[in-house]
Amino acid sequence: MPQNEHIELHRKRHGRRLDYEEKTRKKAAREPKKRAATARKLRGLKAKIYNKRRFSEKVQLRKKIKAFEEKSTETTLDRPEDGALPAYLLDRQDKQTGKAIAAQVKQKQKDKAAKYNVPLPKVRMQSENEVFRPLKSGKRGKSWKRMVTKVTYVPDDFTRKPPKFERFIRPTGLRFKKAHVTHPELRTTFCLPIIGVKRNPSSTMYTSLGVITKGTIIEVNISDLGMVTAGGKIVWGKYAQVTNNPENDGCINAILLLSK
Amino acid sequence: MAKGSDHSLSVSSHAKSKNDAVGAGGQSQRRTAGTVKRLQMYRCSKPRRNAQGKIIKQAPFQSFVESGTRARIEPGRSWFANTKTISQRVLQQYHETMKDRGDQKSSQVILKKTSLPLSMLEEKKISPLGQVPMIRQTNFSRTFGKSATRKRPKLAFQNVSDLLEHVNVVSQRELKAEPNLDMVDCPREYIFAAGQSKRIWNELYKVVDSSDVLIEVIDARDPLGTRSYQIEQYLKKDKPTKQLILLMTKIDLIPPWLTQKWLNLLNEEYPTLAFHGSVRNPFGKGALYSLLRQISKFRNQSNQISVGFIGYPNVGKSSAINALRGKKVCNVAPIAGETKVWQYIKLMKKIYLIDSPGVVHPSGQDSDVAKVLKGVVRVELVGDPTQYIESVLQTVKPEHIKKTYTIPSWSDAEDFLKKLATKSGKLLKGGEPDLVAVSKMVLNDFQRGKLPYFKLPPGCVPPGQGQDAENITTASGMFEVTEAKTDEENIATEADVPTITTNSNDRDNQTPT
Repeated sequence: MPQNEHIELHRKRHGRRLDYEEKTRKKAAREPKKRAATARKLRGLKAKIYNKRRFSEKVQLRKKIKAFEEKSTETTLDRPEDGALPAYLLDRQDKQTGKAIAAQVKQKQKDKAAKYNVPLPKVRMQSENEVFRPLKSGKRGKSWKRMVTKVTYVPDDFTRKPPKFERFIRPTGLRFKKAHVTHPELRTTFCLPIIGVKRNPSSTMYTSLGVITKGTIIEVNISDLGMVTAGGKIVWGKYAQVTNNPENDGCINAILLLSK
Repeated sequence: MAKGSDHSLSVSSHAKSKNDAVGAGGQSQRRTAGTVKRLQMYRCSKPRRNAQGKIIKQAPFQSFVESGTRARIEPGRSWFANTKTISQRVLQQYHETMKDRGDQKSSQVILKKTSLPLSMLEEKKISPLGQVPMIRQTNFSRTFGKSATRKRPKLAFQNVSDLLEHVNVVSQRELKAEPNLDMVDCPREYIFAAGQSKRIWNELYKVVDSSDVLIEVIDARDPLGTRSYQIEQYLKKDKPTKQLILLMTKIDLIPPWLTQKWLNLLNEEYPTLAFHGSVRNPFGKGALYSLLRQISKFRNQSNQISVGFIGYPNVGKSSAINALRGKKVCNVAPIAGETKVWQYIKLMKKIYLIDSPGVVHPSGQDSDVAKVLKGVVRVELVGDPTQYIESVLQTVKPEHIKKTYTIPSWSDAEDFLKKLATKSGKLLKGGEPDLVAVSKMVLNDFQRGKLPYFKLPPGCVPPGQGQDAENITTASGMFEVTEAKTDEENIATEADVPTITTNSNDRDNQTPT
């Protein structure tokens, strides 16, 4: 191991080799070809790893370039000077304002999306393996039946099918009829009856089974809250999003979706 | 593991392909597409593995997702909109129509409930004590913080001595109520908890959950005693869409006039049918059949209806099912607790029957004697059967006992048992009468209907007799026999439940209180 910065010292004293610049330039120029050769040569897992790394590098590079370009356009955006513009500059000016408008529209769309975003837009995906437990049935121990291990909402008029036809069993212990719904403006929580499950983000099948997990959008009966539309009608159904893991907590907590 | 076979209905030259089932007479019948699909579902139930035992394809509905996978809900205006609104006028209209048909008849059924905010129509419940809810009385901001107006908390007791006084008063009251401490209770015989176990109640809830119509089977000899009021209340409150029908079995053991009286009485609460569950010559089978068929027609939104049979142990649930099917499909026995688990029986293409074990509510409404007499417990497991003979002798009229056992007279239960033992030759060593064996025999005869007895509806007098004080049950004041209803009233308007044919000539027999 070198004990001191000999190389740096030498460089300071005597300078680099005379052909140093040319050599580095040539080496850098050869680099893509070398990379390409490696990419061609690699096989199997190594190739996968290499390609993935290379892809992410390129993404980073592209992002950087884009950010740099945006920065540069921002700097060139100047306020138009007073007085008449020469004809040849009018074109350029238009382009710049066009860009600015596009950016504004984009921003607006973003804001709009944020406005109509639900409180929990992304949640953990619930796999089927987690939601359904295979049940053994019959003399030969077939396991085509599935028990739902999550909290479900089952409407009042539901009857179970005969065992021959019943694939999914929703246990009565995990059936819920009410949810604790928080009104975001009043900051008060009400225990409201559930009307239905509108959307389980993990799967449409969970929605049809009425599986309630975190992030699920449920419809609740808000007739107790006394909300009225602009036309004077009584509002009694509204959506709410579940904010807890009901299967762990033993209760459903939800937040009422009110437009901001 | 099933191979990926074609499940289309292709015509094959083979006599028996996978899609054929062997029907009656050994002829192969073509399976329907639905059946083929279902059988395929049973087959493909396990994960597919390679030679090394590694799973190459997960079992259906068992797939994994990579950890960290996110599920999203897209932003949308519709999430924030009102989903259900109703105008005041419509609500009022609905309220009035509901008011008009406020007193629902037992035979009327709501087929489809509209999705309306019924909670808005209900009267707000005021607590019986007239208390205002705590939060409305003293809200947070008035109680705590800068704007607090409360000077001291409102408590029931101002100081410790007040509380102590209250405790003294309460404890005095409880001491008075306490029974004599000299008596020591024996440990209860386990047999008297028959039909109360958690497993059996779980079976019942499964049956309730799986059936559209529930038939509560009651014993004609003691209809009120074998009704399960707790289950009826539970159904009324928590499962309003499930329809309850009473089925009075063993009507061969009571006189016809009494059957009619009971039917009139019970029909006011629930539609009731009389039944005799015998495979060879049943009674009331046609009426029940047509009733079930009508119900299945009303509920045409689903493919099939399931009919659950519930009730006390040993009232004849399985026998009723056997009689309906016309052959032995459920095991039956004249002892309680023969059916252990639920059982599905296909009656018709669209009607399934569900048999369930008999349940007894553990609230202790029945005494041990009542349990033995109702046949809830098995006689051979009862510890001391001689103690129940006295109540048997009280319940059954003496002439019937004399006739059955050909014993002319007796002074008390022990005397009766001794005489019967000598007569039937049930003796121990040294000529001692075997009282236990004899009393078991008597109890068995009682439970199986050899000793005729029946209970009368409250306030009813048997025809051609005076007031028979022994036979009149004082058990329940729930019912009042009112004027006989005409048949027109009993017919439901929209759910045309058939009236029982025996109702038509009941007016002459009816004795109003």
